[in-house]
Amino acid sequence: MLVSSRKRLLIVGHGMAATRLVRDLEEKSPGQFAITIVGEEKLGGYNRVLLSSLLAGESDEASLAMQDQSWYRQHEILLIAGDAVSGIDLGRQSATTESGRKLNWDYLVLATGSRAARLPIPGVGLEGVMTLRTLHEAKQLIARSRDAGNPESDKKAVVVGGGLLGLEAACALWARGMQVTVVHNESWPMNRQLDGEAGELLRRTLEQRGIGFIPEANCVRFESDARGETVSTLLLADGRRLPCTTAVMALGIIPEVSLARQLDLVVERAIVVDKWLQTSDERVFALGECCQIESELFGLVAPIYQQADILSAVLLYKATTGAERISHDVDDHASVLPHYQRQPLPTRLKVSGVDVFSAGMMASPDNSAPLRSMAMRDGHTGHYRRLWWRGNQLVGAVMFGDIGDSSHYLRLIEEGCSADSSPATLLAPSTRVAS
Amino acid sequence: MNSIRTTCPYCGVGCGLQTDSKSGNLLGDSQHPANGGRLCVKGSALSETLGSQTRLLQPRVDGLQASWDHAIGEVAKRLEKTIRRYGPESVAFYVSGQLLTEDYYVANKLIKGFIGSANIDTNSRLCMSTAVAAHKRVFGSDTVPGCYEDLELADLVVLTGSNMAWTHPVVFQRLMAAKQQRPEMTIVVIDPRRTVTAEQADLHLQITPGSDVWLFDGLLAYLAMHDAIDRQYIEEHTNGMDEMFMASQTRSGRLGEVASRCGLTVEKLQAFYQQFAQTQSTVTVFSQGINQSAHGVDQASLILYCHLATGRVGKPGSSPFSITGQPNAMGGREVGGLANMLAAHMDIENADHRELVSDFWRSDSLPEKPGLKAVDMFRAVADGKIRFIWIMATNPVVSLPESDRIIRALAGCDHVVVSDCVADTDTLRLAHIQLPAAAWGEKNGTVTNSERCISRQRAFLPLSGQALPDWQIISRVAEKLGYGHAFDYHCAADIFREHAALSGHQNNGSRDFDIGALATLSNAEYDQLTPVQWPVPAHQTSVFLTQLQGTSRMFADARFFTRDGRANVVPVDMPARLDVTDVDFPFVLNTGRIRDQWHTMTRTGLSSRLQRHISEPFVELNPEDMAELNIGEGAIVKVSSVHGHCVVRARPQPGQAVGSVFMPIHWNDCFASKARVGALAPSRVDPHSGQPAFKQIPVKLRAVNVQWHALLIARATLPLPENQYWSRRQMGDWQVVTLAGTEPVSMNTCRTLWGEHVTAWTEVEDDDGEHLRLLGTGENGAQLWFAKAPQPPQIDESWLLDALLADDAAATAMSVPALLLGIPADPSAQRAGPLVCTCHNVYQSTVVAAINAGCDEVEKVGSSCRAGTNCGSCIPEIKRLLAENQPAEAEEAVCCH
Ligand SMILES: Cc1cc2nc3c(=O)[nH]c(=O)nc-3n(C[C@H](O)[C@H](O)[C@H](O)COP(=O)(O)OP(=O)(O)OC[C@H]3O[C@@H](n4cnc5c(N)ncnc54)[C@H](O)[C@@H]3O)c2cc1C
Ligand code: SF4
Repeated sequence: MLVSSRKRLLIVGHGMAATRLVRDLEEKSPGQFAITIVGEEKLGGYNRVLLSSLLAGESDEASLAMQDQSWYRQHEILLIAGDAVSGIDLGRQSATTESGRKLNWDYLVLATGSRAARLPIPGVGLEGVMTLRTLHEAKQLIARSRDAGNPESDKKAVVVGGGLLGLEAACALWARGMQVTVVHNESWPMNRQLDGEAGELLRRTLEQRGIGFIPEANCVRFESDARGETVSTLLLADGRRLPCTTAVMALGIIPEVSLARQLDLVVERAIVVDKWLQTSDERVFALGECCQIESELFGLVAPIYQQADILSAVLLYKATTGAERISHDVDDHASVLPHYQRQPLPTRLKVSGVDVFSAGMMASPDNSAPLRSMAMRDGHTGHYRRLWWRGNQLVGAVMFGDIGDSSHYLRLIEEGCSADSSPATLLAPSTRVAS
Repeated sequence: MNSIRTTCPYCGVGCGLQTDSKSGNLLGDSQHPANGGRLCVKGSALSETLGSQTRLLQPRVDGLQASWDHAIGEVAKRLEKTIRRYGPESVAFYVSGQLLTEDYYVANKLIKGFIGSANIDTNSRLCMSTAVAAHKRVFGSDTVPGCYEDLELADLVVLTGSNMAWTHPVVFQRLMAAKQQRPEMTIVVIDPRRTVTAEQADLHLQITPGSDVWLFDGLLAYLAMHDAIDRQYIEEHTNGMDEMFMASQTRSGRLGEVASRCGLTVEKLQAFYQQFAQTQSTVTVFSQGINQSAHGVDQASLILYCHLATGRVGKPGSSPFSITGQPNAMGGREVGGLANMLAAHMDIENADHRELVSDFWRSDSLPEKPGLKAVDMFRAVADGKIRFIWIMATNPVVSLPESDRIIRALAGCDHVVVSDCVADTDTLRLAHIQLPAAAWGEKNGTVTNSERCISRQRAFLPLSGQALPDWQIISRVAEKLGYGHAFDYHCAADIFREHAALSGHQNNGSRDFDIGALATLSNAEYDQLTPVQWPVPAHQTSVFLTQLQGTSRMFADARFFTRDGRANVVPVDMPARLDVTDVDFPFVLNTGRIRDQWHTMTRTGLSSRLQRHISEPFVELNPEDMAELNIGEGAIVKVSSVHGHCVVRARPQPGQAVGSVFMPIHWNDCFASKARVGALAPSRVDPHSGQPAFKQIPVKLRAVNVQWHALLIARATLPLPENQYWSRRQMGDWQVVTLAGTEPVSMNTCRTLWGEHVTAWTEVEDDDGEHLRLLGTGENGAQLWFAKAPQPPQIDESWLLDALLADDAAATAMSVPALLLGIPADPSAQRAGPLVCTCHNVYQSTVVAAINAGCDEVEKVGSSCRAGTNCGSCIPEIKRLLAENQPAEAEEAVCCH
């Protein structure tokens, strides 16, 4: 096949979504596209999920790589790293990067992910006030915690945000010997994923390790040391001052949509795509944390991998058939192609020694019919689990301690098959899945 | 270890057992004539009931532990005091068909011969006294003419009022084996219930409750009218038969009328009558269904008349056959342990007999009149006429009719002494003095089964705690009372010899019960005594023990023990009305045994195996009635009579006739909140025998509006939430309690009730506390397990009990959910070690297995077991496992260094 006859595919962003997409494309039909990936980070294509364990010292940098550099070479994929796409011309089907490179494309994929949210308070610009999103930041944090284990050191960290990421960061810094306090604006950690009882158990586990937890806190400002450059305290609304040499803001993510806005694509909270990942322009696609399907936003890899699988199929289909926009009206397209299906997103805290699992919902979204719940508490081990039902359907699960049955609950929630609100579903979900 | 032979302590079949010389286990004795090695489920579970956990191990006086000397002294003192103030009639012994003949003999001798009161009666009154009275009235003696072999030889076997398949399983097995050999043999079952026995019959006559009397009256009329009678036999060996024929023909000569009285079709009735008329070789087996009736003696007599009219008495394969319920009901009759008997089948009202016995015992205080029979005896206790009662080896609070009144009577009695082998029975709870008796397996003596076979019970276990054989307890009291000379027994054999001697004393064939040949047994010969059917008269004395000839059948010569040697055919009274029900109490309650329980469950209740068959008190009723009353399967039902009520579980039973219900007799206040059937039964007794009519009790039923069902399994006897239904059973070391309730019970209530020995709770609870599960653990592992739900919790009980036992403090957290659920984890959910990959549900053990199989990199582990191939967040853990599980060669290399 002549090189020139291949369709040019430009992917903006070299995060987990992009990496998975090219892998799927090359697996399904190697060499179908002339692929270019532009990534803003110096070293792209790594497993971001593992940043927490890198920070905790449980993984090394090498194991973060999702593909070897040689793989890209073999597949003749052009990687442009440490450069960001700054402009796109839809009419000309081209893009420009910050360093001035010009790239042409037949198909464009936006995989720009998201940015970590920051507190809108004074002092966030001080040295030592950070987020944890990139490898670069993770390495900076590691550097900041250096020697923390040393008895003379009094390195203190404050983590703002008691969600999944905040707790992982807190535990990682604690593992590196820092004295850590988590500041949270709700009553218990991981309040989105856990009910109060599990949250309380989690809080106690953290406190047993020596990680402080301040609930219902409002941050006022970061204050600096005498030189006025580096953070030294965090002031709370109740007047408390928390000394810290490092502060990590783990407040959630903001989809990176600036390019899409420039292009006049439909953007709400993120770039709006349909269930085949098509944006409002039939040549442009988006996936990962920068996109939104109906009102669903993404922050975990599982649905993103599903998107990569779909998008690879869609792109190959379009390239080989020349088909235009895929839609329900065109039956034959829709029936041969996979499309995105919402799935319950389990969360699992990646902190060694703390097993927490959560999936589905804990409260009725419309408050019409309240959910029923049932819990198990193990006084010996401190393990806990609770399920939520709507009618005869399992809709939510939370586990603390032993999370062994999590995948069965997940399947029950996912498949929506009937699983009565009985102790059998709670205690032996595998028998329900089987039946 | 030598193999020891003994006899089963349960039913009247009297099977032989032997200990296995290697393992010590109990097996069927293949040489025993009753069972030839067979055992039923109760017999084969005997080893499971020998534990000492529920035994009474020490005497107790007025609630305090006491020495034997003190306890015996107190019994004697209170006895003497009562006799001095109120006379000998104010004293009574209430004994049991569970006692050995030797115990029985000594008890009877003490009260009749020395205390001078005839107030000794036995629980056999509730079971065999009707048969006794019928035998005596017709044959002049309490003689069962036939033997088990007759059932095998007969061409027609009629079972009436006997659920033999459950109540006398080994005889039933023998019968079924014979039937298989000779399929032409016919089995007819007469029973208002379609029992398991009835299901296996060629013909089942599902009669109206209580109509047996008409059925046999009709049969007698039919035989006479169809000339199916043995004229010569009747003329030579009976008195009054023709008058009887007349009466029966007048009353019951029309088939149609009889059929409608009995609730049968004419065809069915005729089929039975014809078969009976035609079949010379016929055995009629009768049991509680005949005996426990207000006209029991009359209907039993009619059965005997039918056999006399056809000359079918005491011939091989041809005889009436009363089968006894208890292991030693016959032995009790032999020693005279009933209020209207004297000793050795002699009559208290017969002056010659009195003189003979007085002489033999060298006593001058023999009473001249019969004492009070069971029901009257307890009435006298209630009325304050009896002020001292000694209850041995029986549980009258459970087994007597109007049992709530029995409780009140005993509670108001001056002195209640109870000898028992278990520590808690409904009756023991009311005792001032509790005496620990030796249990089966610990004591020596003899029992007589339903076919007159005297068989040894031998000890193969040491006595538990301070328990003593009953004869020793009684003899010690006798000694204390100053009768030491007459009770100077050193062993059971001493007593047996005396008993045998009395039976032969001036007998010369004048009395049926004669075992004079055994009066000279040495102790060693007594120990080796093989089963033998009485009579064994003294002229066999010269014969070696091994050649002892028993008597399989009696009356083959048609010579009866009446004055003129002829059988007496006396008129019978037909009941004016059969139906006992009315608008308020529209159901007839029938009562009986179930296969795997014995009496009030003090022993069979200990075997987990025996509890599996039926583990709760119940009432069985026809599904039609259930629908009518709006009672669902498994519902909790209140069954009430005029006298009291029970609360039990409903079981649909299509074999139950519409309008009649059935309840088992076994449960009592130790085992259930309210299931004492005795509380329902009226004290309606047969006028001749004094046996209560347990089989036809008018009752009403109502479903209890239960909110929840629960199951509690605990190491100890725990307090239960008040006013709820419960039924308890022992499963090895565990107590299993089934509960149901109308009032809510919260997690907190449970924890407060049961928290004493619990250090950690594991629990399941839903929003409104509908579903609760609790596992309480203490220092030595699991203490209790509890499940409550709107429907009865379904669990795998045997698995759970094993699991609870195994669950010590080190039990893995992984087994906890299964434990709470009470069902073994699904094998496909095999889990070991912590979960590594949540996305693909891969456990540590699987990852380690992959590593051991040669996967030395994360990717290889992933392609082998999928761990780490989705989000990748478990990769660090896989790495750790890779590092920890170095291939063997690498380790070797380190070692060589
Ligand atoms: C510390 C941490 C732990 C996590 N743990 C888990 C977990 O346990 N489980 C889980 O499911 N998820 C986890 N996540 C979330 C998961 O990593 C993200 O959902 C996933 O990485 C999103 O993939 P993406 O490709 O959409 O975005 P990203 O991985 O963020 O990739 C987007 C890339 O695009 C680049 N980019 C942006 N704009 C431009 C531009 N104009 N030009 C060029 N490049 C651009 C960005 O620099 C970035 O490299 C975790 C995230 C973090 C930070
Ligand atoms: S209970 Fe009766 S049938 Fe069963 S083994 Fe004992 S004696 Fe035999």
